[in-house]
Amino acid sequence: MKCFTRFSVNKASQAALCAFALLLSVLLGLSLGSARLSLPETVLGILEGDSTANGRILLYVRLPRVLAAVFAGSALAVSGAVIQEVLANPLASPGTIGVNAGAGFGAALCSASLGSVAPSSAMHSLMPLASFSGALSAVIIVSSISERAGSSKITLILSGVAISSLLSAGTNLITTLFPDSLLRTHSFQIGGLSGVSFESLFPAGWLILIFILAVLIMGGELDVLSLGEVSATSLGLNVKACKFMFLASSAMLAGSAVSFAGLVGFVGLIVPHVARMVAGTGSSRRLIVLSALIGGAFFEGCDIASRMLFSPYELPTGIVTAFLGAPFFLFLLIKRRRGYRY
Amino acid sequence: MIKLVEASAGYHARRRFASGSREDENIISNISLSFERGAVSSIIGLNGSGKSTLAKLACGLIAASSGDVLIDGVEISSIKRRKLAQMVSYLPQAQSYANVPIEVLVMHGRFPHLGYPRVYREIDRQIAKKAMDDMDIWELREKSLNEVSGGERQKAYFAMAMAQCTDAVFLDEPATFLDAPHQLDVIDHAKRLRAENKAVVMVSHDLNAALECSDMVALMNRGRLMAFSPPNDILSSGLIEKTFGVEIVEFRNVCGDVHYAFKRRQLY
Repeated sequence: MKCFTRFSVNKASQAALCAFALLLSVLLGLSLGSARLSLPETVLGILEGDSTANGRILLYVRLPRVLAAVFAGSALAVSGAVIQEVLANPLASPGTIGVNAGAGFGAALCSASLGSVAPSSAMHSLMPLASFSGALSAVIIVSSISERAGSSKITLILSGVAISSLLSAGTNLITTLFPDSLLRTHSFQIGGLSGVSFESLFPAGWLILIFILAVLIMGGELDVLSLGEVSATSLGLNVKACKFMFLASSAMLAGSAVSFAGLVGFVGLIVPHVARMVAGTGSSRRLIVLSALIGGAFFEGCDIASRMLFSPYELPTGIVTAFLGAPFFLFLLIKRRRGYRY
Repeated sequence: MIKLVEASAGYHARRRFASGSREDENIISNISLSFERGAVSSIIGLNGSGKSTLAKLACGLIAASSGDVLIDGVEISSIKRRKLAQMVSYLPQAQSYANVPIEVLVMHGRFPHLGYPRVYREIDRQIAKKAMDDMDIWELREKSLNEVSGGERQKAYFAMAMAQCTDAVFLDEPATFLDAPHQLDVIDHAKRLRAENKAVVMVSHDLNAALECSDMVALMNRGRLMAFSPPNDILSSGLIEKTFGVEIVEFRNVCGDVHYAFKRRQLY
């Protein structure tokens, strides 16, 4: 049946192009910095391990940071794509419906209450769970408020804004009252990757991999869920359970990213839109794969910019994502109004 | 095939704390009827009389607050949702449509028949193609739902229900947005499904279509079932005139087919 397979070459080349962009950003992220390395030096440095200066820079500074950027970017983008599909709302994202703020509140609370007593290795495992709990609570509160208040797309965003403000105030209160908390740093509030190590990255990194895979496996359910509640129910889907499962997965993804990258904005909002422009509509699995690839490449690109723009000074990466993300989102809104479709 | 026994339902038909009663919140009450295989049944009535609620109750989209809904003798609430979707399909009224290509939408009709990891097979593609061919939307398959007219969108949802391949098909106002030739197509499709020994249930505002193509007509008024009889019995009972407040004028075309015209009842 020709018609159904006609686009397969295009689809494969889209994914390959995005994977190439991700690989390029990773290589650039490894070679660029205060000590610039050529591509052969980079590869050699990684192979040599910590026996050389270049190897130590790559293994202990750049590689964890590059991996953190790729994981965080992919997790936030996939989380945003899932939230937008489940809630059928193009304005929804971990940032706009309070998931990020909830994750930040959970992380701040965990850091303030356990930071001084628990060993740092235990904290690295506890932080993603605390962020997840905060993110999940926020998404449950926001979606139940908007359902009760009429379930419109604007109600959801407005209740997200209100809950985000409340949780951000809570996070600020904690960091003010507990100035020794690990999260007092400015870069957590804006989102940044300075000081990320393999130890702080990996519990969250594994969770991100597992949940991206889980969402991919359940792509068929996500496709049907995006048809709307009545159609999905008549096609045999348990809509309430599926919605909860997807929102919990996206809270886990965003929570894990926030636990080591801080409150990064806009990645989860704009990357799914870009992925949809590239991939078209109709397949959630394709959307998730492209969101993960583009999200990783985008956030790594932003991190390179944050390190290089005012070198040797470094900007929190969240500033760069906001400077790039906000105008791009406005551009999308204006284009949509003029009848642009993707 | 689907039997309702003194069934009542509503969208908020649950007990409100200790003082509330379920009765108050029912949209339809004490409905007893059965939709059989190899028959087209129509549900007619004024706006807000509970037609769509009756259809949703009978296909398991909402739960009965009292009474029983049985499919082949089995209580509908005891059947798993996926299994139920293999037995009953529902074309919703005025869908809030998703922005997906038509071929993707129609393929989703095969979703209840898929095992994990929910990947469509060649047989699913063939069934979806046949459904699109039958609904005359094959040429539009690559277009997104927001790029086509309301009528074409309606046909795409109809094709999705066809691709579900169920024994009972519920069509909630299937002719909405359709122009005259395509309204006639819908009637032909309903008759074709009847010939395939399926139970077809249409919620309809079009009294002519309901009376012409149905084997049984359910007349609803204010949440109550006024009658469930063959069209001729309903016509002769005078219940349509009483419920709708109209006079029915019967006429025949040159082929001898009976048609009905409705005019407002004169109040003098």
